[in-house]
Amino acid sequence: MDRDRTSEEFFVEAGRLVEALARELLVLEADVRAGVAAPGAFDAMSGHGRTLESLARTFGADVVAGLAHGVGELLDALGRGAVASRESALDLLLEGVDDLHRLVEADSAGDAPDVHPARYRAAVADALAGGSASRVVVAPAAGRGVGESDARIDMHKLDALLGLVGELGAVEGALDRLSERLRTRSADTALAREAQHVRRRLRRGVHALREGVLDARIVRLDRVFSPATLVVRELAVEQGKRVRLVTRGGDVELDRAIADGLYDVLTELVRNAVDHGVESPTEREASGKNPTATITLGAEVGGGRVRLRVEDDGRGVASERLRVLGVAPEPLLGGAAGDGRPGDPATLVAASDRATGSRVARGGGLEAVRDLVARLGGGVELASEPGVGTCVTLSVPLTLLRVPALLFEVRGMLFAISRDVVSSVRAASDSDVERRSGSELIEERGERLPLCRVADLFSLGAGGEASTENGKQLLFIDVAARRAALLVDRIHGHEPLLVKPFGPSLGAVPSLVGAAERGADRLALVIDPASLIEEIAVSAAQLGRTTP
Amino acid sequence: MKSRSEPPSTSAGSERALVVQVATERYALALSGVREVIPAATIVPVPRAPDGIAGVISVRGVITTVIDVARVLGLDGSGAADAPIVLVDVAGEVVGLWVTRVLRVVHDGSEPSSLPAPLDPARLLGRLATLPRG
Repeated sequence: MDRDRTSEEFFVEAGRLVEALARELLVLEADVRAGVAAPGAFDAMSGHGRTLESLARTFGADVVAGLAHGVGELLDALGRGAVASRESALDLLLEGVDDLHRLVEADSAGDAPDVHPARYRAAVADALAGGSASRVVVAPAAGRGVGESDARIDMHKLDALLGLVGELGAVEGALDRLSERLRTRSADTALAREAQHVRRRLRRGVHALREGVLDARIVRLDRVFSPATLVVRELAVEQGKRVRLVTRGGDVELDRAIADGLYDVLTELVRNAVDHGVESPTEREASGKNPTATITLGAEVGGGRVRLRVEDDGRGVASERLRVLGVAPEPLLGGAAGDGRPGDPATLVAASDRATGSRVARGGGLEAVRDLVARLGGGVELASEPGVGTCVTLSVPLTLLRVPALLFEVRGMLFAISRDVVSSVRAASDSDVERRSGSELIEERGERLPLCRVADLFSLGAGGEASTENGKQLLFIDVAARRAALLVDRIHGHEPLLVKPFGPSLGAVPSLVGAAERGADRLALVIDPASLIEEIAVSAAQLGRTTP
Repeated sequence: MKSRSEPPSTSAGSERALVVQVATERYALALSGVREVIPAATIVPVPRAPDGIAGVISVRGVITTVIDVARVLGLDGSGAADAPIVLVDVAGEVVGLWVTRVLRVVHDGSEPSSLPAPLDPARLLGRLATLPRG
C-alpha cells in the first residue's frame, strides 16, 4: 500500500518532468532548426533529463531511466554542438521524449509498451558519432546581452581539480611539519631555511591554483535567466496572454553548482506565474489592470547569499488555498530568506509538513521548488495577495565553497557552522538554563534565547553526560535577527572550510548542508544555519503551545 | 503493486562481475558499474540519514555516500570496521557500498551454476527510500 503511494508519486513527478521536457523541446525546436538557440537552453532540458533519470532509477523504473539517459546524452551533445546532424538529432530527441511520454502514461496504467532503451541509446550513439561535423550555432537571445563566451568546463573536472588542490594542500602541511622538525633538530640552519623557502613557494602555488579553479566555477546569473525568458515568451504566446518580462541583476556572479541548480527552479516558477498567475488581457482590462502583465525576475546579493525574486502582477492566490495545496505561504524554509516570524502559523504548517516528510502531489510544482532550493542550502518565501499578484523569493548561498567556519564537537562528532552567524561563545553552567513550559531558555545580554542541545537535536545519544551543562560550551547564533543558543561539548576554533554538498543518494538532511574536509582524513558535518534556526523556533513554538 | 519495468538484462549474466560477500551471503556486482574498491575508511555517520546509510566519506575530495549493504538487505553482521568499500556508479553518482569482503571477479559464462545472485546498486538505493530516517 505504501509502495503504491510511492509509485504514484513517482508517476506524478515523472509525468511532470516529461511534460517539461516536451514543452521546452517545443519552445526550442524552431530556434534549433533555424540554428539560433540561446546559450543554456539545452542545459535546462538536460537538467530535467537528469532529474528524471535519477528519479526513475531510485524507483527501479529502469526502462524510463535508460531512455532518459539516452535523451540526456543527446541533449548534452546538442548543447556542445557535438552532433552529426542537427535535424536528425532533433528528430531523435522528439522520438525519445515521445517514448518517455508513452512509458510514463502506460506504466501508471500498469502495462508495458514496446520501448527499448538499449536500441534508442544505440541510435543516440550513432547520432553522436559524426562529432563536430556541424555545430549548433549558439546565439544570444534576441535583445539580451548574453554575449559572454561560455567555455563549457565540465563541473566534475573542476571538482576533481579542486580535490587535487586539496591533496596538494595536505602535502604542503606535511612539508611544513617536516621543515619545522628540521629547524628544531638539525644544526644545519641553511638547510632548514631552504626547506622553509620551498614550503612557502609551494603554498603560494597551491593558493593561486585554488583561486584559479574556484574562479572557473563562477558564472553570471544571465545563464539562468535566459531559459526562463524563453519559457515565458513561448507560454504567453501559447496561452494568448500578454507578458512583459523584466530581469534585474543578471550580472550577479555565483557558483556554477548553484546556478545549475537554479535552472529548474526558476523555469518552474515563471511557468507557474504565466500558467496560474497571469490573467487573459480581457480579464486584466476588466479589473482595471494593464492588459500586459509584468513578471519580474530580480536578483540581489547580500551576506554571502543571493536573493532571487520572481514576481508577477497577476491574480494572486488566497493563503487558505495555498495551504490546501500543501504549500504554506511565507517563510517556508527559512529565516535567511527574510524576516521570518517564528510565531506565524504558516511557519508551523510548513515545518510540520517537512518533519513528516509528507508530499502533496497537487502542490507538486512549488513543493519541488522548495526541495530543490533546500538542496542548495536555501530557503523559499511566498507572498501573495488576491488580485494584486504573487511574489516568490528564494535565498541561496552564493557558493557552496570556502566558508569561514567555527568547528565544534558533540559526542565525538565534528560539526562546523558558518562563522558569520556565530555572535559569541562562552562556557555553560547548570545555573544558566531556565526551564519554562517544557522549553529551555538561556539568558544572554538581557535577552532570553531558546536553547538547542545539538546532541538531542541530532539524536547523538546521551553518553551518560546529558544531565549537566558544566564544562560544555554555549554558542550563540544570529541568523537574520533570529537568535538561539547551541549547547555543544567542545569548541575547536575556526578555519576556512570547503563545504561540499552530500550526494543526491543521501537526500536532503534537515539542518545539515553538507560536509567539509578537515585535515587529511577527518570530515566535519556542516550545519545549515537558516534551516537550524527555523527548526529551533518551530520546536520552541510547539512546546509553548502544547504546555499551557 | 503494478508490474515494474525490468531492465534489459543488465545483471551479471552478460558481463564480468565482482563477487562480494555481504554478511554470510554472496552477491555479484556488474563490473561495468564498479569504479574501484577502497580499503576500510573512517565513515562519518550522518544524523537523520535513512537507516541503511552508513555515513559519508571523502573520496579525493568528493563527499560520497556509503551504504550499509547488509542493513539495507536486512542481513545480520554489518559494521566490521575493516570491511572494504566498493565504489559504484549509480545514476551518475558515485556511491560507496560497504560490504563484508570482496572475493573475486568472475567471467561471463564460466560457471553459470555457481554465479551468486546479482546485486543492483540502483535497486539498493530505491530500497533506501523506503527505510525510516534515523
